[in-house]
Amino acid sequence: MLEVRSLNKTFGARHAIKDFTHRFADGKITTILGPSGSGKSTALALTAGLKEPDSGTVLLNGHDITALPPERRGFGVVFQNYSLFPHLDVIGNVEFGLRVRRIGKAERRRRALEALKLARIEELANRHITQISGGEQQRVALARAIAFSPSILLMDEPLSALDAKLREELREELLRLLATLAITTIYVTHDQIEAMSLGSEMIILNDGAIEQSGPPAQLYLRPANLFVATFLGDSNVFPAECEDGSGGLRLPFAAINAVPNRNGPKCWAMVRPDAMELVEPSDADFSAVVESSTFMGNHLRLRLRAGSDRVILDTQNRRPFASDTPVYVRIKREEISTWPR
Amino acid sequence: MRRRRAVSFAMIAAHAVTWVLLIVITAPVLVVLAGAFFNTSFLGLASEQWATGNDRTFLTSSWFGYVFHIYGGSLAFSLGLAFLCVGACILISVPAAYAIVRTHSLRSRMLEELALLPLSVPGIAMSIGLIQAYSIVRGQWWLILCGHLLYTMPLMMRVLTSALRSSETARLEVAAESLGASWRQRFLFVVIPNLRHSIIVGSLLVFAISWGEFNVSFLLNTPLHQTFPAALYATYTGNSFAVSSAATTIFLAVVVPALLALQWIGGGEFTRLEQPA
Repeated sequence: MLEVRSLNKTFGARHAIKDFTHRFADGKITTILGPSGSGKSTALALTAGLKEPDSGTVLLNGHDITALPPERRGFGVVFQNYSLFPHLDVIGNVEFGLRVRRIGKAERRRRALEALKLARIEELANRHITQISGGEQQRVALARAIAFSPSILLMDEPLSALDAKLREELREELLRLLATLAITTIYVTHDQIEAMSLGSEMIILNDGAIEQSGPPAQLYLRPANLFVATFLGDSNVFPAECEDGSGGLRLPFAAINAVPNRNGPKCWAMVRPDAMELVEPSDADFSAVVESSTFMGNHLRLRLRAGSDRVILDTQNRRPFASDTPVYVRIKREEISTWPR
Repeated sequence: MRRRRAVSFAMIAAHAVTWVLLIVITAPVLVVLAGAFFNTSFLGLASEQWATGNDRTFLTSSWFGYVFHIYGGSLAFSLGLAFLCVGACILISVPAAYAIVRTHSLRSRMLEELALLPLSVPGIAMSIGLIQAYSIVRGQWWLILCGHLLYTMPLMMRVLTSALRSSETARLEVAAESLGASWRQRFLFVVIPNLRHSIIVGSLLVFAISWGEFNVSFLLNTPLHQTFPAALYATYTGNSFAVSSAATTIFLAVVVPALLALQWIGGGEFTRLEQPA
């Protein structure tokens, strides 16, 4: 069990990591997501021991390993730029972690080939690093990180240098491989789809601090605050008034009943674009007019004007809407989130 | 059409200037080569006439025989000195450069500046300084080696620190560290193999400079330990043009391959040398 407690790190006047505390689920993938400069990679480096925290502790199975140098932690790390050794061939790279542990040559070769097989690149064993593609380099980096059977696997945006199609393919393979290995993995990414599809748990980091952590669905459907709501996926956020007792919610352009959250008289209300549906006028919460419609492949995105507010709505109905077409909208009650304002 | 004509005229002019420059630059070398290989006995008896004997052919290698006979010791001494210089530079500069680059402190930066300082001191001042400071060991061959090291070590250090400061080496070290490599393993298995190119470039540079170094060698050399550039000077002042040409040809035959190799493999290093660290 890997746990970090109150990790702090400053670079000059900048507080890069603030009170980073988390218990990582055993054998599962935890993704760390955040905007650029939010401290994701620093959090990973502190956990790996590649950077020294100003304060706080890293615990592995209850033992404090904060002062332990990275080479003695036994963690596997996959870097964003892969950092493959250019003076070694593929098998030489994968064997490196075993070689520095003074594993015998035959055993070293066997385990390296096994890792290459898991990464589905055993045929590249004798190729030079410069002779393989970016996707293959990513697999080599992964094979190198798992070859010495690390207790924890840390991955710093490993797919970010690849094109969208290859990234999607490798994401699926990564999921399969990590499920096979059942190794506790911390995966840093700025790609929301990657974070949600890979992680059984997700941490949202902003300005060095954890905004929210939990299963991806929970973070998406029940964001803890305005930052998570607006950062994770698309959202409509409105200033609203929550009515005591009645369970009503007054939006600038609609009054809605039976909303589960209560946050005092003034609040922010958030509705995802896919948490609204086009309905008949009799079932609608509000009416609006279409400003524009965009075909997105598997759905249609409508930009609506409701009073003086603008609303984004995603619908499976793919027929195009002309501008100024009146539409009637119902909001799914269970998918409205509110916070105090 | 007019523009195309102007372009072709510019190209011809550029080619012409290049060729003129090439001829101006290579003419002295060609004259030296001619002097070294042509039998010039028809000019009259030279002091080294014995070297050519009764050879009446147009081309001759006799002048080289004379140079090897008289200055062979200097040649061997200079070659040995240059190789020793390369070895010492590698042994001292690689760990020193690594320590300086990886120790981010004011002291390490000052040490680096100090190591580069000899480059800004004129050779003659350096030689006088060495003679004054170590008069007790004057005449020892290793004092000349020390003089050469003072000039070559900073260059080797500069090439290596530039390479070590590249983010690539630092990144690879972090990767090795994450894979469990100790400091010693990182240095041996990652840093040195990835510095190989810079070490080769630095070594060629050191060899060429040590081989051609004159100021320190001339002032510190003794009859027993004369370097080849000092011997070359002796041929210019005391021998015929043919003998000094042969000696110069030998000098060039050693240094030109090293410089060509530098040009061939060392482009990146020279570019980096010009960049601030």
